Amino acid sequence: MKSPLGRVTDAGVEPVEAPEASGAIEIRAGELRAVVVDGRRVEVRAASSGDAIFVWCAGETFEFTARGSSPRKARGGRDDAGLRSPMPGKVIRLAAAAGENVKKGATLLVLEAMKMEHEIRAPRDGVVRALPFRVGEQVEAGATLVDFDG
Amino acid sequence: MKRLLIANRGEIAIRVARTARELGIETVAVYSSADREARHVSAGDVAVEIGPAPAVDSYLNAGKIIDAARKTNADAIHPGYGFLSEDPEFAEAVEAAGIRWVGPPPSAMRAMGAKIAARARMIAAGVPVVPGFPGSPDPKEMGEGAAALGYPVLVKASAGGGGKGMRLVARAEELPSAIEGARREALSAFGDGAVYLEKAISRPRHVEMQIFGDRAGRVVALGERECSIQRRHQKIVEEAPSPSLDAGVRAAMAEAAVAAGRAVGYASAGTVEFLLDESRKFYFLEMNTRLQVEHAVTEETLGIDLVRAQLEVADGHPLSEGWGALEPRGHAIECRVYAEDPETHLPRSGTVLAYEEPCGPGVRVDAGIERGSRVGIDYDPILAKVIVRAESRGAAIARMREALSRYVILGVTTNIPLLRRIVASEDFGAGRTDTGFVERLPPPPDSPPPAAAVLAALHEAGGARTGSVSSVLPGAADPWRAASSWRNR
Repeated sequence: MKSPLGRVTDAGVEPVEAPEASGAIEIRAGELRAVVVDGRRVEVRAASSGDAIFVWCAGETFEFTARGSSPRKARGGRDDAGLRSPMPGKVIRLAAAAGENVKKGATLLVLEAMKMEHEIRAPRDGVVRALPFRVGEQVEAGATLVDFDG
Repeated sequence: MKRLLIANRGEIAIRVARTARELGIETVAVYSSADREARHVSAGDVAVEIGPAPAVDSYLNAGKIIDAARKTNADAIHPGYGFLSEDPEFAEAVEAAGIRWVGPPPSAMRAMGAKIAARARMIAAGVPVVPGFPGSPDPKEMGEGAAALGYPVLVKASAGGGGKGMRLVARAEELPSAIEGARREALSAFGDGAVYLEKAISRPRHVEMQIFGDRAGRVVALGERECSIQRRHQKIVEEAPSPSLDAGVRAAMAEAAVAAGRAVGYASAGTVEFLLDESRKFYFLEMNTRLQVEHAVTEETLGIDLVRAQLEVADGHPLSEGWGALEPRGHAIECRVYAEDPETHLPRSGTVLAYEEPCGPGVRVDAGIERGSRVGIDYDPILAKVIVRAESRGAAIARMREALSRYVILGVTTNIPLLRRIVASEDFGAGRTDTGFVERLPPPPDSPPPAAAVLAALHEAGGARTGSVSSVLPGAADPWRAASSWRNR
């Protein structure tokens, strides 16, 4: 069954199926402490900020969004997020040119952040469409550093 | 010593303040404008704001820290780790201001800080070092040096540490760009672009020896720590004793570490890092002239307080007589909790919305955060350390597994999932740890969240947006009605 929730992962927001189990909720001192699913008690904690809902459940942590499966930017993906700036920083080198064909793993751009150099590499064989930043420019976290086709 | 200024932030500032209070020493906390509400600020009896968020204007600003000490009548400064802890000029400035420096003599810091010179000194002291080439501004000579060592080689920054200014080079054609990158990174991080070459040792283990010296020239070894499990060349899991040393190698390594310390007139807490190759031969890597992040592992196995000893030695006391012959009791493991993605290892930020630490026998948490803490990107993303001690390595692993599964940090992504996978892995259980461990770890299975997690999230969403959830719960289990039936139990 559809639920109003989405789960936030590196790849984006996935719709969350409502569980087919029945549940009861245990609250102590006003705080969610456990969920009883099919007779089994599982410890949980939950907290939210804006649309983001964070849940700790028996040692694991999950991030949901109350906006469900409506489009929302991924928080920094495994694949194309590699071409976005992982954190605020400065572009210190462009290692590829627009229009260039590159092999998987080729260094495309070097970013300096937290006093470390981070190489932005091609996630697969492909073509560099554009490099929107120049050397020396400051970039925000999440900024697309390389427009890549592959 | 009456009043100690702690020139650091986060978990280490809080940990140092704890011991100072035990000794009846008042503490002064310092903080940047970004840290006004940080947990370490309230750990001091007095707190002084020292500047804006960038570390160079605050935690790395020697002048501002010494001013803060003067203003608060602090008679000693503990630098913690990182920031100014290994800066001999800062140590000298502190002493010149008539303030006790809780650390090694600046001359020893200087001798070990320049890695190229330190290697030469260790060779002279009879300490085995990794085969290397001292570095040259001439690219051709660097190429010849690398060829003589044989690829793969490591390009390392003379002023470096923590993987900054370091490059692994597998082939000659990659050397020039690696040298260029390492120089640039070293120059920006340390203000010194000198680099040198080291033979890359295949599947090395990283084992370090804690040493401690007093002002009378006595230097003792306090056992090793195994620190092979790293990501981005920074340690994340440490343990003592090392599962990879036998009594003979351990004794030889302790002797080499003490010789290294004596060669530079060492006092206070220091760590001599070694690489152990597959044939169990060890080589001096570098010496860290400060308290290490992982010092707690040694404290737990030996039942000592290294910060207390640092404060006592800085106050002119000799090292405790019994410290020459301490034997580890049981086994200790530390896991470093970072605000970072568990797979890409990139730093993350956020606000801690819920926070619960594990506890119980043999479980210690040194944390720098609490509920409400804002985790930014201005500083190192370490949040806390979980340290466990138990009678055997197996029992310590089980204790750590449980402790990590009981550590609740919501609102900021942490590396706890990675730590849990490491601790649960068969290789870790068998003591098969080397510096490539994390890269070889299989990726986590991508499984959907369990029903309990979804129900909790629905409940939380419902709390914020009444009425949107109960209809989707099959079996008519209305979470609010169920909640009320539990409430009176």
